[in-house]
Amino acid sequence: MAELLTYPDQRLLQISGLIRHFDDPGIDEVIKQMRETMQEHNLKALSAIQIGYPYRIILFKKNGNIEVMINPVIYGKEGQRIKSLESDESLPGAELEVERFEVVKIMYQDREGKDKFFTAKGEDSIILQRKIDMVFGGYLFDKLSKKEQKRFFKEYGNYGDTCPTSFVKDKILTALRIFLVLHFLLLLFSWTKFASFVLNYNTALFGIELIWIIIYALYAKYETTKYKNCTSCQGANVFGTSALYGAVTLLLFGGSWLLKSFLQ
Amino acid sequence: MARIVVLGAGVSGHTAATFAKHWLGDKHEVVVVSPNSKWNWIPSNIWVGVGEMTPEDVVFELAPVYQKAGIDFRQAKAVSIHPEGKEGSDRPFVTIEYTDPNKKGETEEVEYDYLINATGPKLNFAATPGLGPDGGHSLSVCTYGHAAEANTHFQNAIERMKKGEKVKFLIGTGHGMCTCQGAAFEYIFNIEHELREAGVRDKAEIKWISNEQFLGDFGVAGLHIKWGGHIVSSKVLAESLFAERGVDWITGAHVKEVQKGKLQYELLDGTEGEETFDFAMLIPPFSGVGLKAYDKAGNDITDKVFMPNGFMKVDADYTPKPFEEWKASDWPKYYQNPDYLNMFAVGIAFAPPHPISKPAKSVNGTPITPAPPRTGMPSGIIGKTVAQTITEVIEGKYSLEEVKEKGHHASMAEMGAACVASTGKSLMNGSAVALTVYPVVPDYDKFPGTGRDPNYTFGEIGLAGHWIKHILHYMFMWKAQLKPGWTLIPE
Repeated sequence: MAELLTYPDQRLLQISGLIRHFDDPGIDEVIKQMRETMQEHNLKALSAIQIGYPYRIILFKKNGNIEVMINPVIYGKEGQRIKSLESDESLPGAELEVERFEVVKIMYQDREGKDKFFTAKGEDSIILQRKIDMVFGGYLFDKLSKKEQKRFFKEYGNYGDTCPTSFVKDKILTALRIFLVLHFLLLLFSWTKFASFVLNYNTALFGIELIWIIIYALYAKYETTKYKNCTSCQGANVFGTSALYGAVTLLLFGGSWLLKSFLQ
Repeated sequence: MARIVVLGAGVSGHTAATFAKHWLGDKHEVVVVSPNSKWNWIPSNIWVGVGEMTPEDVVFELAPVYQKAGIDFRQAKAVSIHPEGKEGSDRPFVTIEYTDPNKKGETEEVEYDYLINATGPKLNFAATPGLGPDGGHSLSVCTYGHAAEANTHFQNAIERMKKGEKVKFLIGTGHGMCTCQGAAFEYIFNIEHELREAGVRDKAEIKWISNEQFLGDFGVAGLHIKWGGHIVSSKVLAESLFAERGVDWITGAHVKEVQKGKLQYELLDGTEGEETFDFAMLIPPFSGVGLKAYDKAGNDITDKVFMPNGFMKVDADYTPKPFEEWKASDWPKYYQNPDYLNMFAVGIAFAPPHPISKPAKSVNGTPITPAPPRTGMPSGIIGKTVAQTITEVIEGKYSLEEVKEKGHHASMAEMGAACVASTGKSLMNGSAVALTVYPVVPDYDKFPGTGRDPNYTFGEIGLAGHWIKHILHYMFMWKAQLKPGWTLIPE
């Protein structure tokens, strides 16, 4: 019997590949281990990835028999989206409310590679949606909203705690945003004696903000490289954000300069 | 003096022609034959289709650009290829028929030393009865004209909704063998975004219909996205996105017929269904443009040069094979015709050996499998690579027979691609999907399982995608018009 993997085991995070060679005897060995695991834990369905094999195979108890579903996909659905309170052996102790389709139409191949179709309803539909998600690397918490997901990670721990829930680069940006808002507000009141320093120190403020942006860009670059596994495609994001803030800073600088000339 | 004739001025043909001329200079001749007088940055047609850009924003006149570059431009469509020449002449040639208003209908024989077939696809609306805007009942965004027409209907629909009418939008693919799901995907989310902006989202029912086996297949067997701190398939992402935006879907569908306000489809399990609509944008399947080929004696050799779907045979392995035997090495590397070595095919015009997604047929035997995409980035890279090879052959670095050892190669199984699907055009809000996939064609031997390198196959949802899409638009319009520094801009 194989070990039933639970969070935060990295092996669960692999994407399962398509089964292409149905004559591979290795598949039988995986199915045998899956069968034993199911019996041992009294499970209704099991995805191969749950015992560490990144193969698109699901075993599912149907009318007392165990059905082998290879390369399963959901190609259609019927009925309403329903709320479903679910737990899973891969996520012990967690119970999460997610949305599911009432009825799903599944296409898969049997052990011989023949196409099969199955329309799953009720409980079958829900458990198969969960197991097929796993085949595609998706888990219960992937179905939560960003906010709920954050709460979940806080409670159950992040994926092996390798990805931070907040990044320093975002903090640098938030601080800069507050600074810029303050700068803008002071500019509005720059005709008063109290706030007139924003005009007098315009170039210095511009310099500080520019350096701030540069620090942000450099740190963000460092952070996205460091957490390559957690985030991606951030190059353009960092560049765009820096450019946007650069433009705001430039506007403030130009505006102050104009205002100063006007007031004098 | 050698003469390169390029058939077609789309992304691939235009890239090939302009680079070949750039490298070869005035010593050699480059001729472009294209039935269209304008160049079109096709990815931005999506924005034309929702009224965020005008057709003029996404096109420019080719003639002045080619004149400046020293490229001989003939506004005409290619009719036939004669790779062995004709009686009395060994020089190969193509027969063209002018579409230029001044010479309309005139035919001409254009001799060539090297031919690059970049004709792109024929939008095969005829494959599904009633499909398409010309005489059919559905719209398209495949050309800027079609996109503008779609926008007229879209604005009209918004007006009706503002008056309180309910409108049902059906968007996706119009046949079981379509490609370009990505374009339809981008369009549906732009429609959804614009409807929200117009304040009429509650009056709209939006539904996706496609030939993908599962939501998120995109015709490339799906890809992987970093999501919530780990990697998931685009299936999970797409399902979430559709649910979040309240967009319903049908996949695994072959559209059989489109009628006024409704269509019939067949599903993978052989069952049939009907879907009504007020507005339908359905991508057509692609086929070859219907070029003919003749030998020296004038016998039809179209079958020898082209595959039955009308795309040109190149150095791919076209032996019919079951899915489990597909290999990355089946895909062409040099895009050279095996029988006539001075003929190349690039972009959509080359015949792919097989699809990228796992093939499927309905229980009735109807194929419902996305055809492999070969547009955008791969298409530009392939065009440039072939231009490079031909340039070096002309310069005498190696012969046409040696192309397979010494030529430049750009197999789609060794190439990555990036794409961006926007949700509107705003620079300040939105959540575009930016994806990169490597390799485009899965290499199951090199990367067991998914066939893809997980380090280079990923996506991200965020506003940055909009910025990238804007940058791409202006950058490629700049590049294609050969403005200063154009050679430095990558494909």
